[in-house]
Amino acid sequence: MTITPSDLARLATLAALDVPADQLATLAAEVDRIVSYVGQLALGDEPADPPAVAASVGVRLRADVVRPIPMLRPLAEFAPQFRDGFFVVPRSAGHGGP
Amino acid sequence: MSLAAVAKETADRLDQSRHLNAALAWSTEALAAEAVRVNALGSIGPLHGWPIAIKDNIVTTDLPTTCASRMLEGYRSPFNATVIDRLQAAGALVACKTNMDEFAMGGSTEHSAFGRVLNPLDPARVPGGSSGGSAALVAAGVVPAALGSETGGSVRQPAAFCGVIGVKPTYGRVSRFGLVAFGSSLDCVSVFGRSVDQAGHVLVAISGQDPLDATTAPLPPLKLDPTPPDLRGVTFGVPIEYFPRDLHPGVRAAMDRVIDLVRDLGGRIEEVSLPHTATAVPTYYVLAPAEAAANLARYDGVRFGIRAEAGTDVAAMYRATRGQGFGPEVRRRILVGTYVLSAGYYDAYYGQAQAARNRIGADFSRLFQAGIDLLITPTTPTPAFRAGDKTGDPVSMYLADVFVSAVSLAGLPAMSLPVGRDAGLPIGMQLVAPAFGEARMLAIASALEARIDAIGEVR
Repeated sequence: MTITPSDLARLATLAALDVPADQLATLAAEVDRIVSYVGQLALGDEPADPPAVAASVGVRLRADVVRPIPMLRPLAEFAPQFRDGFFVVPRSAGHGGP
Repeated sequence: MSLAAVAKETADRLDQSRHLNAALAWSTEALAAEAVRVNALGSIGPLHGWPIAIKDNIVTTDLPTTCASRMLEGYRSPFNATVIDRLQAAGALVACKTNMDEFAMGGSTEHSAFGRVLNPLDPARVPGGSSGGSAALVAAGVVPAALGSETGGSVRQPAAFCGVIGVKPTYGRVSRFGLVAFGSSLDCVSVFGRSVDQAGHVLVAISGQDPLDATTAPLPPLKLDPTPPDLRGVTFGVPIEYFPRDLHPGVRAAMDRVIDLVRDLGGRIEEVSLPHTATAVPTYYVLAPAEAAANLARYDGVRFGIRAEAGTDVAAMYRATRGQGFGPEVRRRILVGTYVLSAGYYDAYYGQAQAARNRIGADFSRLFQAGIDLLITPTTPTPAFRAGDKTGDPVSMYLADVFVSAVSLAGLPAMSLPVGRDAGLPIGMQLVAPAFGEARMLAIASALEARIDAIGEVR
């Protein structure tokens, strides 16, 4: 695995990160060193283990039931007056006076 | 001593310890205000009058929160982290915000935008990281306890390097609400103390379910075990993978001494194996950067911290802000995280790392199900290293986490306890417990603490 300066420029674009041109080569070499190191994680065909992190012991999933959402109520209940699909509001100045 | 006197004395000690560069934000006035606030509580809480230092990635309304990054320079949170509210309700005084590796990424506190932290025991050496400022202030006697955070050993490792207690709770034991996110599946607010008892009391105060953090476990706050600990009948597993041939001779001598002590106290020592230990550091350095790349996407110059001037294009402003705001280690990790999550590489890196994480967790589960009560390991492969020794090679810095990262991936509780010194440098022993086994772990650590010469030379 070799990450070139142009690979790094592409990654920087994906990460929305400006990297000055004179730092591309150095940073590419550093990232390449890290990626090569973590690349040793080829585990082959060992059987998979179920998730065994403590979080799965302590944190239970919530019951899969539908509960009312506080804001989920008829539109009419959001305003003092609602008629024929419209909110009724006080007449404001300049809107069709006598 | 009155609370006002505690506040004044703490401010004086912080002033005298400026040379360590361990505190980023504090003031005599803010400490005095804390004393007034605690006085007004009207009750004596379990941490009444304890000045506690806070890592700078835990948000506070009264002091800035920068994560030791230019990106957040001067940022002040509109709310407190849950752990801050709980400390204050227990009567503690927020003493200061502490220096750290930028966004908690590092193992030496050399990656702070505001300069490195000195190890109080040897200023030429690092205090460990990323919570190095908190560890240094506890080691220097400035505060009795401090909060840090762990993503992959960032409290246990500096605790070992500075010769203090460092406790990482089970993932889900303590609320993460208000802890600036780095690796959300790993992050844990953790505790430093000068003694096991002090660290335990702080952990009790901050633990418990929090409606503001859905990942907290539905359990009541931790209760310390009041019964006198008896090691007879306790089985300690000693994993062979944590005692490699090239283990530092001082660390080996300290561990040999502890294992003999455990036997003398009636504990049973059993050699065990955690076969996937070697995969822990590479697994961590895939998963943590991947999560960091996603979590740090929010720093775009719009909602937090600095904003770079970059023409009229908003995307250019994002890129310029992030390029200027993040330091070298954060940039490296964002780029590695982006790489391992990118199309074509996701399965090869992230998928493999998730599978490896499950295997690491299963290793621990098998041992605890087979009757092992606690694991004993060294916390670090060497005592504190010299500043500058590892900054040129990120991977060598990552390998300083070799004994702490597996526990973080498994989400288990663990702690570091000082067990002696080699050429004046502290050596830490790590205890690892089953999930939510903090009370027993702390009780047993307390029994060992009472018998170990933590500051004597081990060879």
